[in-house]
Amino acid sequence: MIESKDIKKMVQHILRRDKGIADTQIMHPTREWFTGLAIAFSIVAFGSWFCYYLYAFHHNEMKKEVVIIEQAVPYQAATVKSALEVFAAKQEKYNEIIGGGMPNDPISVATTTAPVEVSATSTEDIPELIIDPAPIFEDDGTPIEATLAP
Amino acid sequence: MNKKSHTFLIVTAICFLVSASVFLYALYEVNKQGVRYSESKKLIGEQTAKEASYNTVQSLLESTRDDRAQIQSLFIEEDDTITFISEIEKNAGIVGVALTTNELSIVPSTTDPNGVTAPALLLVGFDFSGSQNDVWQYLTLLENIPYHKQMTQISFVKSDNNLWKANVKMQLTLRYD
Repeated sequence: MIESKDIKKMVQHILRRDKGIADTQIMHPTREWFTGLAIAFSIVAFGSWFCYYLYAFHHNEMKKEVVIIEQAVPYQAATVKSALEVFAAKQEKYNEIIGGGMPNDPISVATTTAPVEVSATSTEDIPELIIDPAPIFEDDGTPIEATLAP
Repeated sequence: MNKKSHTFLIVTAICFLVSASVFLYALYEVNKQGVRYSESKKLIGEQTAKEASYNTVQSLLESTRDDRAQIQSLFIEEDDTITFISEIEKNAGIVGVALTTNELSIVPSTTDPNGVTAPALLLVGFDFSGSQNDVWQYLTLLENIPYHKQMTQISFVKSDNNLWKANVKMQLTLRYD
């Protein structure tokens, strides 16, 4: 008759067989050699990649051209020219008057006899006095048609 | 582990640490030099831009010398005030009007809180009378005084005996250097 201790023996036998052959070696030189080689290769590969990246980064920095942003010097030549022309015309007129010449020779045409007073008292945006038509006076008449430009 | 293996392991570890330290130091130096290079390059760029601007301004100053001299002559100097008034009075005689200078003062230059400077002004006022034609002629003359100015008031009125009286006030911009 099979007793319980016999069954135990049989189970233990089966279980011991499943553990396979016990490894009796302490060191595995080949495996560890290849593991070390793999780690070293990884370090070298990563280092190479990083060094190349660094080289490429600085090389590109060196290749970049220096952008020179020259500050523009504002000079409104057209405005200056037109201002000088205006003042040259004024100078010419001024010289014409004090030189004895009449800028606008008076023509004897009287259009009104009422005196007209024109005044501008603001100190800002002084309106330009525009006479239209050009002044045409005679000594005893008062041909005035004066407008103040806004 | 036998003694030989132990020694070899220690030497290898020291070599690795030294190599890693050298590598990291080299990395640090490369980065530092790179930053210095970038900063120097930027500085050189700015300096070159300044030099270019300077040269542009220099050539602009050279090419606009005549214009600037002309523009400068459009502003009356404070020292020339009396000469200017004398000339105006002399011209009144030429045109044929009787002239009285009723105002002569200087508004000093001011600078606002924003640093904008308003130039000094010469305020002048004249009363003059004569025939209508002469008055008009003299008004035209005052209007065409070749100085930078603003006519702040003009009035003229006909009085008795065909005599016209006019009053003019002007602000002339004084030159400042």
